[in-house]
Amino acid sequence: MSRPRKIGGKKKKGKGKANRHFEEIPDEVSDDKLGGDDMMNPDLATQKDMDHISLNTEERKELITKALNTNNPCAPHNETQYSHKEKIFKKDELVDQMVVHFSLDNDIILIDSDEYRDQEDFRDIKKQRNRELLDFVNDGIKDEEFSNYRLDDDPTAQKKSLRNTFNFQERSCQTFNLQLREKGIKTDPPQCSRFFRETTQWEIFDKYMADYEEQQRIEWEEQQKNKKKGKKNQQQVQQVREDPLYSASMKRALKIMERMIVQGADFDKFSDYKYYHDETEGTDSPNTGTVLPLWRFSTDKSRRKQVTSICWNPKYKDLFAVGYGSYDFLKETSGLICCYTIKNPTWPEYSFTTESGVMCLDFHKKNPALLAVGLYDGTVMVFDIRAKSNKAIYQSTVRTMKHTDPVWQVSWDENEMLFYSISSDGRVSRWTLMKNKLEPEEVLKLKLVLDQEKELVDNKKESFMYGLAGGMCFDFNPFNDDQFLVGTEEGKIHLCSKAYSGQYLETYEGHFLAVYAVKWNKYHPRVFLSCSADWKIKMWDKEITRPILSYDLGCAVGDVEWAPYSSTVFAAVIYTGQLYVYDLDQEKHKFMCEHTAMKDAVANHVSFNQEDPIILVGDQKGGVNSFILSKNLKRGPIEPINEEDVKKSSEELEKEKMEKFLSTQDKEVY
Amino acid sequence: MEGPEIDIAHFQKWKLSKAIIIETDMSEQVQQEAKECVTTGIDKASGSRGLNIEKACKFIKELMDRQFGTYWHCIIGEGFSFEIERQAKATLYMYYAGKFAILLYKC
Repeated sequence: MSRPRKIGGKKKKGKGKANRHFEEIPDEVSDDKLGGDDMMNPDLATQKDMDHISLNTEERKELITKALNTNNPCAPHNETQYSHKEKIFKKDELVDQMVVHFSLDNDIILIDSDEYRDQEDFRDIKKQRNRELLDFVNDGIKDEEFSNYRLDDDPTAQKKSLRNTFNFQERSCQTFNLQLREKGIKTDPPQCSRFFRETTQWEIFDKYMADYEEQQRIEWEEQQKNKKKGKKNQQQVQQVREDPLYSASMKRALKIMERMIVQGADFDKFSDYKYYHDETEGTDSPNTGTVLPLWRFSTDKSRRKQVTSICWNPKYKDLFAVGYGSYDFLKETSGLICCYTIKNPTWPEYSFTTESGVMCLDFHKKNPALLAVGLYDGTVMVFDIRAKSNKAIYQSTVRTMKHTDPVWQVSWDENEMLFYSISSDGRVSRWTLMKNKLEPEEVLKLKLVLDQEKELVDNKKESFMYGLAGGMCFDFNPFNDDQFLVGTEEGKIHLCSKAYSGQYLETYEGHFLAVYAVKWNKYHPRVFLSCSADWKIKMWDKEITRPILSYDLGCAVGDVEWAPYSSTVFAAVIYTGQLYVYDLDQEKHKFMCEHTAMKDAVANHVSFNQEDPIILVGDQKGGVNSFILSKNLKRGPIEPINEEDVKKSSEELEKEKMEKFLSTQDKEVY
Repeated sequence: MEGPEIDIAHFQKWKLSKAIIIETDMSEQVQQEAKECVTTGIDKASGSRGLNIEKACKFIKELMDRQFGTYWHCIIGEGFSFEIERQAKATLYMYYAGKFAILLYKC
């Protein structure tokens, strides 16, 4: 046995077969140590790293011998067994050295063996069985043609007969056919319905705004509730939110829109209203003028009523109030007050109804929302036109000494909150606005003044039994607030004083029938006009008891009014519906302009606008017509041009104009 | 009683993310889901230059088809009118982002 090879100083017993094989290699091969090692033993080469023992040169030169033997290197050197009999381990040196590397079983059987005999028997049986089967098949063949070919002992032929495709019996049967039945179902289509909508950006916006506001409101309410937990009386939960369609701002917007639309639609008239210029007027016709009709203000409700009074608002120059009632004693109607504005001639801005016909109106100069109204049944009322309700803020009743006859005129005092009224029962009353009622005070009783020339003079004692004169109209002197004129039903005009209620200061006689209107001149302190049912307009000087000028118009004169811009211009309307404008400066004896204000309607009232040259004429049919004056008619107020005149104001110039006119008059009175 | 003040700036911001359902006849749950679909669709399709309406429509329609069955129609716009015939319980009409109106219906 050669010395076992040292490889890396470690005994490699358990290593793989490969190593052992290389171990048996004869020495010659393994002489070349280094190179041979690497080539033959690639594993070892890699293992150098792991357990590498560096050999010194002497060791390297050492020759290692190898020898082959028939010993099984795997076999143990001895086997040791414990013998129970002898109770010691027994060593057995003899060990089996045989190693079986490969074994394969084959299937060669000896002929004589039992196994072969069994196999042969089995084969015989099988053959027998085949034969029997064949006989059976052959018996089955009925065809004579084939009976000749009795297949005897021909194994190939036998085989073929088994596969005869013609040799089969047709056998058919009819199975039950499944019965087909037609069944149809119609399903309802899913219900369809129409749906339509329009979307616009503003709708979307509105919806979002509403939602947002709702949310904010809820949050805010929560806050509020949290704040006021302690209180017993919680504030009422906000009422149902105002629909923005009906809010106040919407109303205002709508109002403006309406006005714009109306102004746009009626553009011609509005441009006339602003810029009317009659081209036919010129130096050819110096003493005539024209009026251009503009709008007619009326409503359905007012159609059956008569216009009884017109009054412009002192603050808003385009607003005016019209009172409706009835002059007919037999046909008493309810009253109506409508406030119209020129900005929207289609519909009144404010309207109020009263139980009895309205006879007169007046706006307060300082509080232009207050409107004093006198009614046919003698009541006087004060309205606030801003109020949403129909009710007056003040009303006189029987207990408060209301008039017993129609109130023909009311007039506010300049500064105070009191107004005067005159009525057919012969009294002039002053009403003061107290906190919750009207305080009446009698200013004057209109005593009947007897005409000296008449026979009644004899029965002087009985004169006071005639009662009181019926007052129709009155007017305060703009220069002397204390004095006022009163026109009566009998035709007399009296100058009275607020302070002195006992007697008249002066009586002016001239008219034969009821005096419908008395108006002081706005510039001249002494001059006034009166018009009456006896077809005449008379002009008076305060000092003189007889009229200084008289115009006959051919029909009862309903109303007369001075123009606010000139001391010599005035307008009058008569019962046939004509409108007359006079300018005393230009044309003394004749009217400057005649115009049919109404067609077949009685014109009852006329009123000048304070700023624009507009005239309103009210008629019997419940409508108010508006007219614009031409240039000739609207001369004045005179501007100071000359050097002398510069110092004076236009009022004074107007007054001078009047004076000049008066001086030209004949001194003879009519 | 004075009401709460309305802050316009806050309102502008608030309305961008708010969807208001105007008319629908779907059940509550379906409604919610559909609304979700719409809002996600529009949010997805909103680019830097505003909403790509086509893309949003496509997205919404496909999503609805997948979820609730075939043949949904989706119309998005800022101002339009329409008249449609639609299946019962399959309509949704809503506003979103203060600007768009979305109509969803099945036919």
